[in-house]
Amino acid sequence: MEHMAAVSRVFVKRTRRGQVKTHVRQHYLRDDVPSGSPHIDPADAECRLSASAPRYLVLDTNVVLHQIDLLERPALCDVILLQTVLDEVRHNKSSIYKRLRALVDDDRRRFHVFCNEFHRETYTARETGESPNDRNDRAIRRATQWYSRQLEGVCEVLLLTDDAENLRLAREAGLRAERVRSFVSSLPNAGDLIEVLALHEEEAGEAEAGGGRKQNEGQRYTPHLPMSTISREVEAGSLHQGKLRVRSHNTRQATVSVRSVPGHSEVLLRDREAMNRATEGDIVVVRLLSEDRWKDTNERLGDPAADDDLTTSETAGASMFAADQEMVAQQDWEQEQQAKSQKTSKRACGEVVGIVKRAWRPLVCVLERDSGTGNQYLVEPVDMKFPKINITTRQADLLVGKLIVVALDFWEVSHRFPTGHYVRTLGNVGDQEAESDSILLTHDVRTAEFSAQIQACLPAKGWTIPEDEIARRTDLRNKPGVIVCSVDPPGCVDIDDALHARLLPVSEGGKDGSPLYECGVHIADVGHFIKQGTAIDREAATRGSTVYLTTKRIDMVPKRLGEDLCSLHEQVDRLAFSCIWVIDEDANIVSTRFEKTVIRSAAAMSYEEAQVRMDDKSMTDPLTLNLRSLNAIAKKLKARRTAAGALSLASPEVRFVLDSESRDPTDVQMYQLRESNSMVEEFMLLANISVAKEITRAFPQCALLRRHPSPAPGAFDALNGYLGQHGFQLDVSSSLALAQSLDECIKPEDPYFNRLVRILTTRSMQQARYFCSGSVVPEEYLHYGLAAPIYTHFTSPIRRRAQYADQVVHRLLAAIIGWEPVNPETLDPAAVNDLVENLNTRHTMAQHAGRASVALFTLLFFKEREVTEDAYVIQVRENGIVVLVPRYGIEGIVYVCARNEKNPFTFDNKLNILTAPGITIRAFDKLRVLIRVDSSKPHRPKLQLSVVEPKLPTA
Amino acid sequence: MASAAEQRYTLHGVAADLRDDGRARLDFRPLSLEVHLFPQASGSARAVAGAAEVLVGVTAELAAPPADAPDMGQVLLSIDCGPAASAARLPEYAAAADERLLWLEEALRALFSRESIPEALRTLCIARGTQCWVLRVHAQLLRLDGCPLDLISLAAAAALAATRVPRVSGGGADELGGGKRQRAAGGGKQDLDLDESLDESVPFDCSTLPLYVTLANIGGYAVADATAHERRAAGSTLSLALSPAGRVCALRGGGGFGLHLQLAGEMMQLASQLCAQLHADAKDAIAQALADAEGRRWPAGEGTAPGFLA
Amino acid sequence: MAVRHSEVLSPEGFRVDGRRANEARRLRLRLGASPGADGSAYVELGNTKVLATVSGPHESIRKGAHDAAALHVELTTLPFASGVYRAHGRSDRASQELCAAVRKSFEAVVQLHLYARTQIDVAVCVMQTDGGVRSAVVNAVTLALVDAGVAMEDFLCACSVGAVGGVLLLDPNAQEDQAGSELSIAYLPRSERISAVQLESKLPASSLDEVMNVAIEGCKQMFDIMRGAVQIRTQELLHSRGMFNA
Repeated sequence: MEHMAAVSRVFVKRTRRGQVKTHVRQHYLRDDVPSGSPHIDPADAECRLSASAPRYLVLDTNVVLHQIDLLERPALCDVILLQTVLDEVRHNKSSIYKRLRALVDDDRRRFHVFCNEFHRETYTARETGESPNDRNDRAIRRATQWYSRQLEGVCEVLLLTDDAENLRLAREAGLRAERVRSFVSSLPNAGDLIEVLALHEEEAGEAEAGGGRKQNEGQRYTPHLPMSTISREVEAGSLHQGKLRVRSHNTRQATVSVRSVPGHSEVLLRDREAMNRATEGDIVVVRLLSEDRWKDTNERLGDPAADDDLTTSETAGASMFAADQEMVAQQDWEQEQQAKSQKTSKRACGEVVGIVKRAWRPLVCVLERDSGTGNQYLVEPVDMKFPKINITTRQADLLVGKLIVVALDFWEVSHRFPTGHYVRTLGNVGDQEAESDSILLTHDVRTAEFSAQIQACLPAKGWTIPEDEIARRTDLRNKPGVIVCSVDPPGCVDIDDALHARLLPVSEGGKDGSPLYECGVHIADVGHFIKQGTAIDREAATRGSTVYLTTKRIDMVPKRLGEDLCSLHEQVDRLAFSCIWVIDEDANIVSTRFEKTVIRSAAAMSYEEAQVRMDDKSMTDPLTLNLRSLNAIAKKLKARRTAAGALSLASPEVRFVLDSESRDPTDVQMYQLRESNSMVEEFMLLANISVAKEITRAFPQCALLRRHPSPAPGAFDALNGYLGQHGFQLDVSSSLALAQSLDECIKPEDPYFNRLVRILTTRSMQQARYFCSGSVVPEEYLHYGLAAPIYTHFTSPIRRRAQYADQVVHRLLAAIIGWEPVNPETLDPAAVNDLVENLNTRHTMAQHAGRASVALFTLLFFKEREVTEDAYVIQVRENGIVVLVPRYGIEGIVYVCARNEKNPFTFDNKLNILTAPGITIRAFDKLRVLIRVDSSKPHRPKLQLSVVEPKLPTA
Repeated sequence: MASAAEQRYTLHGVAADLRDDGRARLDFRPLSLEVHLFPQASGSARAVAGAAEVLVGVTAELAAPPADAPDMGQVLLSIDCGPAASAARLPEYAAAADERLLWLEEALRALFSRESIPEALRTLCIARGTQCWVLRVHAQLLRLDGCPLDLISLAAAAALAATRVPRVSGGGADELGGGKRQRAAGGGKQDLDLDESLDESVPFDCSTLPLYVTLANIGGYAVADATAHERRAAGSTLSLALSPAGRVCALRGGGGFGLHLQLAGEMMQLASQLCAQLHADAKDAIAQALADAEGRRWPAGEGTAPGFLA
Repeated sequence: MAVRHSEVLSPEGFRVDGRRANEARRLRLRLGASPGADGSAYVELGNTKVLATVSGPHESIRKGAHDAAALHVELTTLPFASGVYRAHGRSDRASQELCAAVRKSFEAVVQLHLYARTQIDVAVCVMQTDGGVRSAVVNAVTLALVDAGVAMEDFLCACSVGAVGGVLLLDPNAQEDQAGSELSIAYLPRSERISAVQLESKLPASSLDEVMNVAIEGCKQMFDIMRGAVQIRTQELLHSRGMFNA
């Protein structure tokens, strides 16, 4: 330890109990920190920096934060990343930190991390009164100086900074330092690189002076308040902080969820000026408007061709690109419920006075050709919730008609739209691949290949179950009477569950001699392959879920694991985690046990095959008998669940029939449900419930569960309002009452009506979420929809959604049966809460990405067609209606009048009815609509719905 | 108990104004003083004189001021013995060993009372009636000698002189630059901004702290800074807490066969004469210790006192 | 203020305080730190500071076995040791447990049978805590006993290892300590035996071997430094008695 010296940093912090604690951080300084340069450390074989490079670059923090897109261009090599910079980046923006780490990992790029804070000669102690920023800048200059001295005459060391003060001080100290822009301009391929350069607010002025877009004079928006004022006023309760959500059917409005306004859970921002440059997802601070400027609860749908005097229309119409139709609709629906349930006729309105945290990430956009002035263009994000963006480009011709990725940089007070910069091109608009990429990017889905390190976590090719592993487990392969089989959708390659049932011999039967069954659910034992803390585990935890698009899927774990090693294929020995019950004739559970097993599936069937076997009375082979036993018990289980109030809900989802070659959609199908589906489902539910009980019993504070809360009070008011006009009413006092009242919503003349009510019921309910058992009182563990007091996910560790949750549950269960201890992290409620947070986000994102993909294929499908179909009105507003087309599972807005035109209808805002002479439009009315693709903007085709029957009057 | 011969030897020495260790009756032994031994404490000091050694640490806490003194903070003191010193070896202030420790604590608390140092305590108030600093002073007696009160009061003064409390400002005060600030609801009712960095930490004003001086009556003579050995030959003792201005803040005396009224008067007279020099010496020693710490670049560098490593 | 799991070891291989995974903190030692005692030693393990004093062997005041010396251990943690005020009693459970563990470990090492009818008092004063208190205490007591000239069969060296998210960190400080499980061992370097093991929270059984090996390596590092300090002290003593001229 001779090479280390110690320094200390002393500071105080408030403890949780409000006391003051003095902290001392001892910090060791050393001489053996690798410099990464072969000139300085000739003995170090792992030098990242090149010996022949003419110069090394040192970046300051802001350059990394703002110009990450530039750094990702391969043109920049031999870069020294200082620990000071990495730490600052990590604390400021973890997404950029991850991208930076990826660059460091890339050998070709030659990025070296220099731990300057630990090097004796570059360590920089903060001086009294020095701000952390100033200290960090000084540390960066000091490290630059160190490199310069070491490399004098051998290689130039250049500090890139856009901070004027840092630049001045660096030059004063005799260092080579430059602004990013001037450095990039001096490079041979400057043209390309300048495109991706992010603009700084201070630079923007200069850029504009050079012939850019002419701005309206003065300030378009109100300047934000200083941070110190904001935090004071928020604490005092005169300003309110919350997350901004742009309204999906009217993107020029937004709501901010707040807790600090009595009687209101959200504040409405009525226009772009009120949003004051805040965008979707930002954490903002709002000031309330005086009450006389508040708004009535009923409102219009976003107007077509609204306030856009700059360019062509920016409609909030029924673009099928708009990412999450269903979710979006659901959100609006919920918002409406809430607003109504609050019984106040006015909605609180406010305006943004400050932005605490931006939720900016790269956006997929389309360039608007005619928007150009000089090199400045407007691009329109595919996600309609974001405003158009100004970018500077010299290659507009190449970008037209393409999906491009654009990063947001800043939004000036005087600019109508924010400024960003071009990052890369995905492909042509309408191209299936490019559009799918766009969907993945928009939903923040990780698409990178699995690294070699992750692949290395899997056993070598040709793996079979080792003998000692078999010896540790219960071997079900040759157990008499146990016939394990699986039933899945056709063509399923990742089979993660299998079943068996057998009548127990009389000797093991019940007390009174009544027959007992042994039923088993066998789940692929992923835990054998994915050990906690390994590279593959960390990656899976980050991804959280496999994402299914219409034509491809983005795996959470390498394909080989799901499709081969774990998949419970027919006639192959596989490892399983089994939940085995003894069940009596009336489907009461007598006993439950959990075991690690070895199984060999007798048959991997599709739902249809299984159904055929069960229905064919002539078949009496053991496998079929096994299926029939399972089915008989499943039916009883289902009956019991239904009696307890389990809801049968519905979604309008459809499946595409794709052309086998072009992968273009040729037809649409509804999902068909058979009895065999229900059979598998019942057993999976039973297994999940049994496991949930077991892990919560053993780990009451840190079990990972899933709950579905009861509907929020008033959540059904709107739906009931609509239903009342048709003589129906839903009783939401309990899930049983709801289930029964749903069953009564039947119009004999319209078989779809009941399904529609179920779809809308789904949307009126809260979302099911993963949670950590310690964070909620046991009464709230309830899964409302399944009418189960407790629930978790155990049965899908490799398929479907958010399977990482299943893997965590597997680990807990394995610990309970004494199979394998778990890491303390799994038992730390705080860590579990963090994990759950990510899983819920990933789950939602995966769902939305899937739906967006369906939307994309819907659009591709209608490109060649114009179809007239039945549709149902599901929302009625002053200037339009929202309709759902069951055949294609699509929904969209139909306006009854154009903006600035007289509305031929009168709107009854109590009953939500539009009336015109001879015509009345109410919710649940059936219409005929024409579906076609609106290609009036070739770069942004979108689905257009128009009512053909009855004929709507025009003004 | 020392043997009669030993006692006689001590008495003779005192009478001749030449004590066992060569000192005159009113001489003090040299003092070694260090501050900033423990960066995790708000202030710390170690004092060694003769065979005695004491370690003092100060912790600053936030609290509400006492109801009857809404504009004052508090200095609270605790004492413990160990490892090599045991309460049983303390001079016989009281019969039972643990009562001796209490006696000591009580005597020293008088130094930090509202009556004794009102101005200093006022500087610890942050917001009248709602928030103040409480300095918890803990003295650990590592080794003992004849006059523990004197050494502890000095070590406590040094530790308090080295104490710095973070700057706090009322909620919503403007940013002053410098370190990061935390806002949090404090122990009191008011919200405070706490300067984490300790850049602008506030020293505690300890210029008015009183110090104890103990005089022992050995054969009718008043003897300063008696060793444990000498105390065995001593009759009664008198300990006076004196402010720098010469005011008597506390008085503890007794033991032996009692104190002659005339001698008591003489001793008090003597004590106040010694006072000025005592305070001047203490001030110098503390200033020197603080300067040493400064020289070691406290607290950023390896600034702690060598302390036990020396 | 716990460190997050992902941060305990940077991809560059450094811990939050600039050490590598297998490096202990700076160990600074002083024998004879408390001149009045029969033996004493002061140990600084990073920011953790401990003083141990030994008194004895002296006549036993307690009744007990006559064929060997009795070993008494007392531990005090100063109220300002952790950065917030905490009035530790000598009777608080953690201190008592540590006292008992230290006594047990040393009863096996000190040649108590040489000091029949006597007792040896060990008093430990924990002055500042920043992780690794147990190790610092054991090392300080060893050195104080050496300083007191008490015969021992071997040094007793202690060191701890933290296991955080699959990474093993030698001698974790308080900041690292909160993030994972910690194992501390007391090791006899010459006879290569383990005298005591203590594990806080859970650790996968499979990694126990590896953790122990790292801990033993740490103990050996400690031993080298401790042996050096003893040699320096011996030379000092010889020098002060005029028996040795360097």
